[in-house]
Amino acid sequence: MTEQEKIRVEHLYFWYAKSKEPALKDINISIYEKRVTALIGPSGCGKTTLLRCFNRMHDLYPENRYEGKILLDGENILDKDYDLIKLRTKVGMVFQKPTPFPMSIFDNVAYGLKLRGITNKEELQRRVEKALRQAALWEEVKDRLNQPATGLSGGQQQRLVIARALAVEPEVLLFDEPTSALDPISTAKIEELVVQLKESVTILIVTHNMQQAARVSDYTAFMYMGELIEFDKTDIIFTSPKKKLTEDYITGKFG
Amino acid sequence: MIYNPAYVRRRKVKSLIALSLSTLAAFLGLFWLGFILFDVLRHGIEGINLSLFLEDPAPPGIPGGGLRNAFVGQLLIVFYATIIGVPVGLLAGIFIAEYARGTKFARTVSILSDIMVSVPSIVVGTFIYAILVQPVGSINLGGLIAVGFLSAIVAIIFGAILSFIVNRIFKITSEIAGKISNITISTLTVLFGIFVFLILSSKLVDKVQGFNGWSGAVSLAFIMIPVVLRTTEDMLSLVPWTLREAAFALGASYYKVIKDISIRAAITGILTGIILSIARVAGETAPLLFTSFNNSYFTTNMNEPMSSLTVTIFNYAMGPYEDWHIKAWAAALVITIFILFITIVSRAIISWRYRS
Amino acid sequence: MRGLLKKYPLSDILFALISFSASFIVLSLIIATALVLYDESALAIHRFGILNFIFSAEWDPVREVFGAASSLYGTLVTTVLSLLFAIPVSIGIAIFLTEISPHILKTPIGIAVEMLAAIPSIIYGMWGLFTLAPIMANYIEPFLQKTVGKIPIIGLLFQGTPQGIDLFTASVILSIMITPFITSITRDALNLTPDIMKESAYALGATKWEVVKDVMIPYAKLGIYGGVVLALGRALGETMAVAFVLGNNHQIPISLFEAAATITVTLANEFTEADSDIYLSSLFYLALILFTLSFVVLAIAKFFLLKAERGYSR
Repeated sequence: MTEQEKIRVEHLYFWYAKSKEPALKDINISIYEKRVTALIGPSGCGKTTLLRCFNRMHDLYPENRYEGKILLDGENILDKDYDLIKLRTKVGMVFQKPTPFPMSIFDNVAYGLKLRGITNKEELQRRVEKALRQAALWEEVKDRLNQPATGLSGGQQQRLVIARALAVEPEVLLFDEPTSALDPISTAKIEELVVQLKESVTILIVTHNMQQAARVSDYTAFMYMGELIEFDKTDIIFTSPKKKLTEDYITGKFG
Repeated sequence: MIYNPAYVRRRKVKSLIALSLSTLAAFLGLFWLGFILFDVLRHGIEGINLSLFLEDPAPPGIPGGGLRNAFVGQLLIVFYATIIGVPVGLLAGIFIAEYARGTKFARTVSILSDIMVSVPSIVVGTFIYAILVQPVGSINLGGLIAVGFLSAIVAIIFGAILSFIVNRIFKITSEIAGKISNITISTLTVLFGIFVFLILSSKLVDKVQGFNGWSGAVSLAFIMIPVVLRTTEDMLSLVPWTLREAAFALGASYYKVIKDISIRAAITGILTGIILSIARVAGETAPLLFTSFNNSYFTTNMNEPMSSLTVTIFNYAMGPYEDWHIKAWAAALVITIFILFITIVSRAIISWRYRS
Repeated sequence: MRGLLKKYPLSDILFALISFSASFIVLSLIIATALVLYDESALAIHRFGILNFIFSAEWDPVREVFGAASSLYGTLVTTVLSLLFAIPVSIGIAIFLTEISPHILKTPIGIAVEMLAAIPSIIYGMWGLFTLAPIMANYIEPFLQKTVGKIPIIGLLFQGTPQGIDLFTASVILSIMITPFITSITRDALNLTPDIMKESAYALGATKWEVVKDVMIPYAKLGIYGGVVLALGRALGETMAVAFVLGNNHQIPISLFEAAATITVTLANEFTEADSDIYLSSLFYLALILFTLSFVVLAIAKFFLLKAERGYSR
């Protein structure tokens, strides 16, 4: 199995506004193409902070600072001149809670496409259907595409949001604890989806649930206090971690 | 990846234009405020001098004189409006936020007070005209109400002082002595209140002869009541219920809990709300046009038509004389400074008190 | 009664009774207002009817024939026009305050908006008469006549000699007055959009304006409607700001550059001069119509705001 590097993080530091202490310290990590990489660690360890660096979500709030490099296909996305819209076109994101926009199911999925200038009705229809099928939602909503998205159940909403992200064909998809607000059945569906999706996209997933990381990911990164403690293939992390700290966390001694 | 650089550039330009327009709107708002304040200051400062406050108006067309009558009239009208409006609004607010909390009655009163706020102030003027100006020859009910509230407030202060003195002189320890002294003080307070009311009403309140100051005060009180009511209700509902429960657990009566816990916790907000409501009615003109009307002579008799700053501004600004215009601007400046000062200070207090 | 006395101390019962009567006063005052206004206008209602009064443009104190159409027309035009001016500006300010302004500017501009709301209407009116009306008459109205006034049909709205004392100036003043109300409600509604909602739009590659337009404004829609309708109520009932610059002329002009009258201005100017019972009764009738209108408007605003509140808490 040859691994292609999609993203490389080099000496990444990150400071939240008005904070002297960096929230991320000297992170170095490689994310491989069409693989699922899980970020785990106790709450406050910086896993979500790291995830949000990959689409520069931190830029929405003034005075947040980065240092170091994140190379996406060899280009440094932390570069001041790197176009954020282009970045977010390549890198999609799914959040902790479902975030359907106040519009119809169809319009939710088509929203990203319209932003990219696709106005042709048939093309929109085709792509929306494809995305909904990819997100395993098509069968459930095909008869009510014009109804408001807020009428869906929590699990359906989260799959809708995934479809919305998939519709624009991103190369990387970021998941920030996507199942933390869902029931077990919906969670299982989302996990299944994540495993299927890695055929076409590179996936990074933040999770506080170690079993979930073990189930879905190929690689796992363990973080603690803003530092990357250990990064390896998932089965190695969960069966024979090299660091004591990782082992203690995996075996539930803390966290 | 679907990416069209030219289209993205177009979207960015569109966004920039829309955001610039929003920024422009904000500066337009600032511009209007600056323009109005600057103009009021520029014209008003010309007419500000001591005689504006200390002299009565000169005959029309003759320069000189001042607006002492309007200042005093305004103070009297707003004073009596406060005397009526604050107790009613405060007590009603307490009732619906405490005793009737969460009931249908409370919601009804809450909605009705919103309706009261939305009644155009000139309609308030017509209503008060119909009940307090038109019935010429009958005793002025507005005056009786105002004097009634005034006497009640005086009596309560009297009672508080009396009980303070009694507690200081006699160290009351037994329960029976406490009860006896309480009953005595209450009786004396009530008798004193009635006495004050009888004297004040015979001295201050007369029969209706037409436009009168009392009706002006009542129409401003009409506007004040719902404002005070809603602030009191809001501020009291911010006080956590657990705080009251702690007092109930000690065996306190609801009256005691309201007095010592709820009100005390919400007092800053309530007081600021009251002050804001005073500022609000101090700038009202429309409800005074057909109630207190206007008077070019100095008077402190609330049974006569009474001059107010706002109505004077209206008449002087619409009038033909340059000197009147200057005085109208000066009065406008005084009112604006007074209201803006109160508004800013109260907002600051509220944001400081309820920062979290 | 004796059971009650045993259960609660006397002070409690007394205080509850007193505060209850205070809240009862609120209840009775609003009912009394409706009844008194109706009673006072009964004479005019009887003589002119309802629809006849509303649609009759005649207002002749000498012949004692009265109709509300001219006043209603002025009220309608100034209200609609002022909303047209105020809505875009207010929403712009609200967007600036929530999304664009740097943190240090937020508080001062917020305070400025509140100051604009606190300035008494008589100050607006006076400023309108002495400052705005001449500017309108000398610069803005002639400019409009030279530009949009040349367009057929629309040009009819801008005919006549610019005096500055007209529907147009009154609407501009009203719009400045109601801007802060729409702004503060819109700002509060926009602020209720969850961060995560905005973030997920940004994550799809939306620009700031697209996030505002497609996510925040639809999300805050009901609150904005409520704010606009509340402002409409204020504009309907505003007296002093328009009394100075409208001219109190009972006519139904097509041009916005003509003097006119609103219900409030008619009341302010004529109430103390009404010399016959039917004249006074007709004025009370106008007040009753205004009272009803503002009641309906408030009910609509409440409907939106309550619905919005329920939507947010879900």
